[in-house]
Amino acid sequence: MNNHQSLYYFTPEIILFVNVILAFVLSDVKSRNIRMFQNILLGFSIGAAIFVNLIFRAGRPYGLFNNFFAIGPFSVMLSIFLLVLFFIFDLKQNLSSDYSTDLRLQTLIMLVASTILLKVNSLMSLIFCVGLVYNNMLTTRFTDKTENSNKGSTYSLIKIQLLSFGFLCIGLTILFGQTGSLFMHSVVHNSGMAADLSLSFSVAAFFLIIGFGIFGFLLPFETLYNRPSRPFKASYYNSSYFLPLLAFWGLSIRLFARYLPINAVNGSISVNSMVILGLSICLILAANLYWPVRNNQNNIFVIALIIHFGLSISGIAINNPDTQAASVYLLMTTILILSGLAFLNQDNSYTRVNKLARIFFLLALIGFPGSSGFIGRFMLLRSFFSAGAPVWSVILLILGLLPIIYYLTLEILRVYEYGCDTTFARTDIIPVFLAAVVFFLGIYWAPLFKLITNSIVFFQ
Amino acid sequence: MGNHLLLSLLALPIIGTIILILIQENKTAVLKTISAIITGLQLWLVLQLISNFDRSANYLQFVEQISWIKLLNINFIIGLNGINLLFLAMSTMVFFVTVFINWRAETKQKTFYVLLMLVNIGTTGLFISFDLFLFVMFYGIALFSTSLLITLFSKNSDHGNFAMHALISFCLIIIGILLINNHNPENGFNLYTLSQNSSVLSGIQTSGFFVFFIGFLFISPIVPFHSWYSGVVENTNTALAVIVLSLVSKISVFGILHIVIPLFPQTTLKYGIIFGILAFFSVLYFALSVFSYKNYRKIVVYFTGFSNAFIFLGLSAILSVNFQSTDAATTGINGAVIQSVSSAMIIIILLLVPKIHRLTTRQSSSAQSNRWVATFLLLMVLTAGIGLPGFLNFIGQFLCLTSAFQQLLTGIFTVAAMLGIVLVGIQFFKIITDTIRDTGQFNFFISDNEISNELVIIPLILILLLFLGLFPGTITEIIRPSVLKLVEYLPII
Repeated sequence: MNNHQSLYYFTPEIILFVNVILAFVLSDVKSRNIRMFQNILLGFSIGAAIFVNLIFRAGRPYGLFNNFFAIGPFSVMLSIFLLVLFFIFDLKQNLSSDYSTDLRLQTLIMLVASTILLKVNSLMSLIFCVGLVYNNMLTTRFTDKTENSNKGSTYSLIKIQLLSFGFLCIGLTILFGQTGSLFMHSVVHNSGMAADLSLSFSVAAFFLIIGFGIFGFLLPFETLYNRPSRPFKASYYNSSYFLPLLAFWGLSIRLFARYLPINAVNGSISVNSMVILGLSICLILAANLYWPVRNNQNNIFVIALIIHFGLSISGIAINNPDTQAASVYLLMTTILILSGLAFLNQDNSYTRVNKLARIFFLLALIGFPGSSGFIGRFMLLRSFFSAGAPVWSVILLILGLLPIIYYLTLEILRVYEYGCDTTFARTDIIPVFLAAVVFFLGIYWAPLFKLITNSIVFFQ
Repeated sequence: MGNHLLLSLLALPIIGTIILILIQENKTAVLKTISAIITGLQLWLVLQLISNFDRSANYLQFVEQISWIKLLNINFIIGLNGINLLFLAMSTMVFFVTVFINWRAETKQKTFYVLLMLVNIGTTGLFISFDLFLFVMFYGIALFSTSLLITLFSKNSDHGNFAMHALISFCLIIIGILLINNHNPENGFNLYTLSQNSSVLSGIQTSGFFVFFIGFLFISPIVPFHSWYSGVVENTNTALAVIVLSLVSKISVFGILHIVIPLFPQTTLKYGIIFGILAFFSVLYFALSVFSYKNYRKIVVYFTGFSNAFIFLGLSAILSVNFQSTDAATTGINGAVIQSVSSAMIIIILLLVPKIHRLTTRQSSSAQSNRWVATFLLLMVLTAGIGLPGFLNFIGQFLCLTSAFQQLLTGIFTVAAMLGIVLVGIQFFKIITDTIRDTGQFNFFISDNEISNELVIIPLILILLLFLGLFPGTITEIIRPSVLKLVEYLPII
């Protein structure tokens, strides 16, 4: 199904686009009714996305939009997750007195860019979406007056983006050279084309990891978690950082699943997978070594982020439905936990409720039993065993987790020592809600895990 | 309620944690009262369980089974056999007593009681869980909460040591469970089913045994894994020392009895001598340590390791199954279980001794009659600690020694253990002499308000130890069917 026939699959994006235009046209109007209308439109987008997911069943062909964008259960599932996450972020701004229409417009564009990034089907549309995200990040930076004053930080952002973009282009060029197609999905099925070119494929994969990875690995050091005294606007922007981040990783998973030959369950692991697995283990071990070098309390979250992404990459590298589902689960829950922490870390107020939520999120990040952090790792390690991954790799991955758990325990103690200003603030509802979700996914994770597994099996 | 006793027992500390979190930090009296009510109710429930427990049955009792995650065949299975019941009773008593020991403490009490409740959830859960996934969750909760307790309430900078040991132990247990699940996914994580058909794990007998065994050893005060606990407990408050020494140090023994022996019987039998070797080195090391220190807290810390060594000595008696004699193995395991429980109780009262020692000194303002009562109690506690006949500790040590003595190699270890008892005995008598003569050779220092209600707790525990020592059948009746079943798992060659 191509072109206009599958246009209705993209209804959520179209509604989002209308929302963006509305926000753009009415950017000077600070009416509560307009905000309410925009929220209703956002709700419609989520509803439409869920509806599309329900009617879009396995076995149906991909929905292609002029071959530039493709829709499938996996991308729909992740885009619903993004929409809901944005809705939660947005709720906080609605609860706050410091409401900025400019910032909302930019974050909405970021959301649109992220959701369509999940669905790109060609190298051109990929570059377009990545560019949109990067451009929007920069303009958001300029909108934020406090950030604007820090030129060094802005230049650093530009450099990181250029570097990331460069690596991405190299990786994509190699992929194009190997597959001979600008499209990821086309009428002629070309899955596993790179199987015979192990070495060059690994190089391409490496560049892609670095390209996407720089976004996740370097950028946060400059933009997230720093300076607890930042104003509210910055916090809003920082939480929204997780939207494109998840979109990048969602796309990486699609690319890997598309081009890596699939390993049979309990079968042997291919050389390609082993190379990427080895790289991700190196990444985890290196991230652990970074904290003693820059023993800064803010860096601990970024290191945790890198380590969790490293774990996810290792699962994706094995390229088995089980490991991939576990990786996606780990990724989604990590984003939930870390976005909750980003929320709290940028708040000026320090209430008893958000202190409790902060401790809970840190415990979840450690992998405290009963939280989704524990389940994510457990499921990933279990899938490694069932996929027949070498025992040494599992041991190395577990060893790589020990230092970060120790560092995070120290962070818990540091948070515990803080005094509290008040008992409860209105904006505490959001982190408490996120904490409840993290707890629920730690106790009863099966439905989400099943959903992820089903969506991954389909797009392979 | 009779049908859901175990579920209620597990739910109580969970409810307690939520209530404690909601109470303001400065209301310490409310915090303590609620903790006392929760642990008291748990103790009452355990007494109900003991009275309703069928002593002739070797099957699981009070079973609650709920399908949890069908995707991985994980079920919420809790139940009791004789061994579990005894460990559960021990832990419930330890928590109840800890609340009263800590009664007069003032600083950071909300944190202390919330974490205590979390440790309570973890230990209660792991003592009753019969699903490996459930077990590992409660194991993690117990260890992480204890780590946080130690880090926050230990004055020693060495607290990271326990955290690392706990972490490694937790990771190894997870690896072990994944090994089992990967080898035999059909049976899921059901511990009872797996132990009934341990042949399905024949492919991972050796690896599984060592992963679990070493995992549990990492949180055990046994040489060479003992480095975590001496530094931690030395400079911490007494209530926390009670939790670590009498409860956390016994989790490893429970793990061996609950998982290692039932799931890996062939390898347990093949490498059973390891229990004896560990006991041999530990008993000598800890006895010499007890003998050489003048700091009373250190003496109690090393005495814990010494008592634990006897448990391992008792477990080494399973080697007799190789010679088609199951009697010694049964006696040994009986001895190990009794020694676990009795040493937990002994350690509690040994840790309370510094408070009553104050009453015995000449500088004390207490009346002469109080001084004599205190001296008498101190005398009784220390002699009970050595293993005076009549106390439960004697029964535990005696069963461990006699069972291990029946084999040549473990017999040599037994001789070393006897030598250890002599050394510890000499040191304890030195303490008694020091107390009576008030020479001040030993350092009994504790800070004010660290220990409360000692004059009630010590006599009660002494009476309990004496009663169980005089009527050991009360315990052996409960554990005997489960111990026999455990021995049945061991294949006679």
